[in-house]
Amino acid sequence: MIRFFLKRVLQSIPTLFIVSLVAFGMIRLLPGDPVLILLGERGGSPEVVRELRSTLGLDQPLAVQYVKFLKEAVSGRFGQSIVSHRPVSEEFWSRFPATVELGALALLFAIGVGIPLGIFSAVKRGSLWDRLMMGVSLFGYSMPIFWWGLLLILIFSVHLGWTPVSGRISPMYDVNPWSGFLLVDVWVRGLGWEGFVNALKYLILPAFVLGTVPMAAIARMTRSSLLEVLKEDYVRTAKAKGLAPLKVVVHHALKNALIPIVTVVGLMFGTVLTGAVLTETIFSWPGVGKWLVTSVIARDYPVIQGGVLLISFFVIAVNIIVDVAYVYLNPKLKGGS
Amino acid sequence: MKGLWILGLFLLLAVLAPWLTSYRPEQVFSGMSLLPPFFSAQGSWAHWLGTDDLGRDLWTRLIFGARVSIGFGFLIVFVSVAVGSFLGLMAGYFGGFVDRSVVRFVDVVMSLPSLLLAMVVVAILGPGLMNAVWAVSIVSLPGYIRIVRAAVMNEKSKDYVQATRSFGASHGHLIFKSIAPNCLAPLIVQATLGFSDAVLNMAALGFLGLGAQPPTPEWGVMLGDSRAYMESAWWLVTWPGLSLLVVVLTFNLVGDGLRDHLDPKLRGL
Repeated sequence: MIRFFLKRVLQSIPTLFIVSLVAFGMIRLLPGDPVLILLGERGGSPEVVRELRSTLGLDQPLAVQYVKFLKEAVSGRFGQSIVSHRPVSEEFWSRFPATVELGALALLFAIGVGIPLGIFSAVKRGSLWDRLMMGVSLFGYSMPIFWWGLLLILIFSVHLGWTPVSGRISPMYDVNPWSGFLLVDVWVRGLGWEGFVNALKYLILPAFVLGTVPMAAIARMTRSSLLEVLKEDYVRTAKAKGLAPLKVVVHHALKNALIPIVTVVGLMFGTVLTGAVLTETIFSWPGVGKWLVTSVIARDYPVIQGGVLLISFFVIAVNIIVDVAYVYLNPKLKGGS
Repeated sequence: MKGLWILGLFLLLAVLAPWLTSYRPEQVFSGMSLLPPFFSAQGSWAHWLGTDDLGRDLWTRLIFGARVSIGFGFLIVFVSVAVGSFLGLMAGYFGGFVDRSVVRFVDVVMSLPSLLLAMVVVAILGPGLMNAVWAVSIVSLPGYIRIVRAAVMNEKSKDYVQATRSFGASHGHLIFKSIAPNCLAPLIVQATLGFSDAVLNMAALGFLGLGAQPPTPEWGVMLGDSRAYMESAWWLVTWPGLSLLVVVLTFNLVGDGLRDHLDPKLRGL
């Protein structure tokens, strides 16, 4: 297991290296001069253009620029933002916990609701409930989440007034970050239940929106994977032995149905990251997604470059964890792939 | 098949848009801004779905928006299927260095969530409808490459390919005449489901201000514009999103149906 893990880590190094080349190269090789785009339609005098080019380091030879970029990455700073003049990594880490908190709750909801829904539908296959649930999950799966978010804000925040429209916690609480996870920090800073409930109120709607698509995907996959397994002989044997139907499903079928489910959950990390960009923008959630949108619109190239590298690093890390989970669930894979 | 008739309806709306309304999508009716739909007290049949903040007719913008969303969705699927299946065929057939390079490319593209990568490409090319099309096409490639590559590797060792090869058929003949037609089924399913992703990604870019630009009547742009009037004019938020949902839902439904049809093993699951 450890050898497999190390092998996957080593395999990902060339990919990361190429990602760094792509992140670096795209800005310089694709048509469109970043400096001219940065200055906007009005442009600037040749002196301004030249000055900006040298501030960005774009006047040096490509190889020198790339080595500098790699050095920055290895040192952990990832360059400096044009807008805030702070190191990219500092900007990233100050926002990362907010995204993780949102994403984790969304995935928790997706798994916690999606898997039971899928199991129930598979067991009651063909029933009204099954058809209803599959209809709902097809809706969830097809949902444009930026619209879903706006709709829910309209209903729950504007009309019913149950949840706040944007932000992470009421401005009356001044939470000095400790871990960056507000649900933890409210306890550390002594705000207790009151602060916790307040932070949760802000979190719940965006997490629900972000979790909708993964929930639907997980429910669908759980259902079809379980139906496949329920056809197997050993399940029939277990039933014939007189085991309670629920016990057959939970103890016998589910573990074998889990592999495709883990695949979908793994794929959902990417969906959650993509969704976070939109959800954070709609709910003004101060996370990595909103930051990247702002940086793309402001054409903050060092941030885009560094952000791409940092995020792909996390995506690759998650993929490795999912692969290791596979091998754990299905020891047959150990030698291969 | 379920969903096909809804799809047909939307296609019809998109194609016939100029004949289904007496207005132009950019036409501004001064003094008529934020008119609610016909069933409200202040609504009127002249603008039956209401008007937006500038006083443009929503029905008109919606059906012209169908042209943009569905039309460019097709363009993206066409481009990415063409390029993706070519790369997949080459990688699967030749193996070796070609395969390793293509797989590496797929790994790199997949190491970033699709919308993020599309955003980065747009950041470099500059916001705009066509640039968004290229960006979304690039991020759609890995799906097609992987499916075609897997299908080719599966087909290539079969007897009929060996037989054709033994007659002295060229690589081109083997790839495009013998193998490619047998890889079509999974590709068609992927393309149908990929269409939903393409439409959603385009709309998301438009929503973020990185895709189509106002005053283009694109559903994502319309949704982005509606945010400021959310509290006072619910219809601005509702119609474009609902259209988007229905189109995506329909394509997913058709894709599911196609998969059941082409892969009978999964039928009824």
